[in-house]
Amino acid sequence: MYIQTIQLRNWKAYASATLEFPKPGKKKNVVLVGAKNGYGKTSLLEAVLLCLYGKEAIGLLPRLSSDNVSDDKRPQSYDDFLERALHIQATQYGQASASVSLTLADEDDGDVVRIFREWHFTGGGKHRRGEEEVRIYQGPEGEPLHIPRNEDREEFYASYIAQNILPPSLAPFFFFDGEQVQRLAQRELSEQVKQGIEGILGLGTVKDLQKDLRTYATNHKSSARGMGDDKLKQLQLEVQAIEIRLSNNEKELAHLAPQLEPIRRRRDELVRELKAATGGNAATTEELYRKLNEDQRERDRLRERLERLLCGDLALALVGRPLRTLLGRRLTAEEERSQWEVSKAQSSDKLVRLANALKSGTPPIEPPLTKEQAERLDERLQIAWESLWHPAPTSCAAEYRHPYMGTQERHGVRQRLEAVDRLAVGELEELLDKLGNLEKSIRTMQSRISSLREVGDKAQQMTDEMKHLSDREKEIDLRVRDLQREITADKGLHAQKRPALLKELDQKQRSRPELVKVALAEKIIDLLDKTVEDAYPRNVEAIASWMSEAYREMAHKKQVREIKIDGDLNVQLVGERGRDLRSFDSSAGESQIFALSLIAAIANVVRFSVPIIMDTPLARLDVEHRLKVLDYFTDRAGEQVILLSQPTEVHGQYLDKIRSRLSARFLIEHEELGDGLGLNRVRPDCYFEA
Amino acid sequence: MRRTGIALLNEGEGRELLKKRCREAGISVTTIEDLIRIELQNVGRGRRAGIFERIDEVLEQEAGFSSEPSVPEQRSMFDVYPNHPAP
Repeated sequence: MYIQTIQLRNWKAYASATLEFPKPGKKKNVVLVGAKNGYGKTSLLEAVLLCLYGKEAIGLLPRLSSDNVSDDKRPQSYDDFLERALHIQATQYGQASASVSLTLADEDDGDVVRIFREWHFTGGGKHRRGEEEVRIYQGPEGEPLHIPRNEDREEFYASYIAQNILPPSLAPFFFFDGEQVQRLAQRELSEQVKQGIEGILGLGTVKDLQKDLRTYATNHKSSARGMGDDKLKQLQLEVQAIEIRLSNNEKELAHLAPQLEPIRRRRDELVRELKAATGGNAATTEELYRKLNEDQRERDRLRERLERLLCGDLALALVGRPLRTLLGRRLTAEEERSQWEVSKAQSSDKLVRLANALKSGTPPIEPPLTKEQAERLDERLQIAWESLWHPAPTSCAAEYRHPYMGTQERHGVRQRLEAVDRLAVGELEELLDKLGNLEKSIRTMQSRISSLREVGDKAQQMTDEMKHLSDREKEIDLRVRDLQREITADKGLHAQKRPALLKELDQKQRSRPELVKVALAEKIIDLLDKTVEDAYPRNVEAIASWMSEAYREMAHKKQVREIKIDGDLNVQLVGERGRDLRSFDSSAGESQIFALSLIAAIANVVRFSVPIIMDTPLARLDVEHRLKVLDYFTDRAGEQVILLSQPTEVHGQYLDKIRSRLSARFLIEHEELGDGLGLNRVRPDCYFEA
Repeated sequence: MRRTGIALLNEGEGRELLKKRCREAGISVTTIEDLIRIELQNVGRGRRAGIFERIDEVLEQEAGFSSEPSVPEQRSMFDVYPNHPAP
């Protein structure tokens, strides 16, 4: 697609102008438009943008974001811009409107589309909002584009242009001026790449679609009656869980309950068998053993007593009572002698005290006793004192026959002898009788136990089985009760939840088409996410590849071998040795080369085939870069490139560089009208050199 | 081949990815293209009246509730230009 005609009426300094561009050829594809600074080059670029996008173009206009325009001259709004754009003489001549017409043609089949946009103003030059006219004509006959019924004309046209010519988001990569390139170059490389790539990949459109699908899903979900999917699913799961639990419990109950009766029956049988086997009492054997043990312990006790009787008391009893009596008396006499002797010994102290009292008491003996008299007195006293104890009592033994015994031993022997005296023959007989009975009882019990032992093993087995059955019955009975309780509870719960679920399912069924569409919308959102995620790196690779190509072609320093962009849009300028060269200071010109490479890459990657319009793009570049940039951007066989140049930009060697590619040239001449106003005229087939 | 108008999805590999994802999700590629076309037709429009009705039509057709074509394709002379092959 190329621009065939640009027609301006009352647009800036152009009262009326028509620029007709030839179809770009394979060798001649460049249109060169020359104008001095301030003489209408940028006005041409703005006319193209305003014609295509109307008020949408306001963010794309170079003049609005230019650092070189003072605030008082910078348009503040769409209205402001248009009011400044209206040719100064228009209102004077009663022409309260301005228009731009852009005719584009297809290089291959020659199909033509003309976009005409007209703005209306008051007599005072104020923009009449709402009176802006857009018309699109198609085909050789210039048929107006059919607008579907109920479609807003302006919106329909905007959509048509975005789809079929170029979306406004991509316009800065096809229609740009040097300042835009410079501004782009001043950004971080990754920022530049991000802006470019997201624009060309149409992420905005995809995101818009996802947003609309989300809104659609939300609206339709809430309009679909019944509870949300999550809640319904929860209810379904609950009912399902209850049903599964019920089924399992009923199955288990059906399996367990019938087992109880046979177990109980068998248990009763065993009780009966055991009674029979153990003489009617299951505990007989055990009791017999217990009784046997008791009797054996008693027998042992009696035997011990008998032994003691036989070994001790029996010998004393056999010596006879007279001898025991004699010994008893003898021991008593010896005890009395012992006591007499003790009393006598205790009285010796009293004798000494008596003697002393006689000899030294008052009144004193006069004349005092001589020594001999005193000795004789002591002897007499001694004899007299002795006489008091003699003869010894008759009950005292004359001598000791058992001097080895003391008082206590004598007493113990006497008591033992007395006990033997008291020992009755009947007691021994009774002891022997008891022992005899016990022996008999023990023998009987041993006999019974022996007879019972034969059925003991069987009884033990039965007891074990009975215990096992009893445990099992208890276990099953407990489980059966639990199951019955759970089943009752679950049946109640099921009776409550199931109707609620059926009701919701019924409602869901009735709103199914809505929910199906909602599910589809959500699925598509997810699908787009995944596709973008997958496709993004691949497109980034393509951009990086095209940028590498463009950069190598345009940069005169050949250090950069390739431009790499990773998934996070980090940019690397890879040198010949594989090093990232971003750390090296690059000149303003080199930064612009990067920005231009990005622009070129984007223009190459996107599907839109539109002309490139470059407004004074070479200003900050050195000679070699200018040549290379001109060469690279104009080398687009069959694709139109429109260069808007000032006299010092594309001239001399630069002009020579592209001369062979020129398909048309124009010179914009400016006539001063006074008060800083002027009138532009377009001279075809003319350039500064002419 | 109809184009979606989105470079991301029009590139050879990108489109293959879209087809693959559509196949996995059981959704027709045409449905995605129709939806994107609806979005593109709304680019630059202040009001978005009718867009949800059109989305609904496309989804209805995808769901099999309607056999009517949802988005008549707008062909024009500028419809498709082949991309330049990568260098």
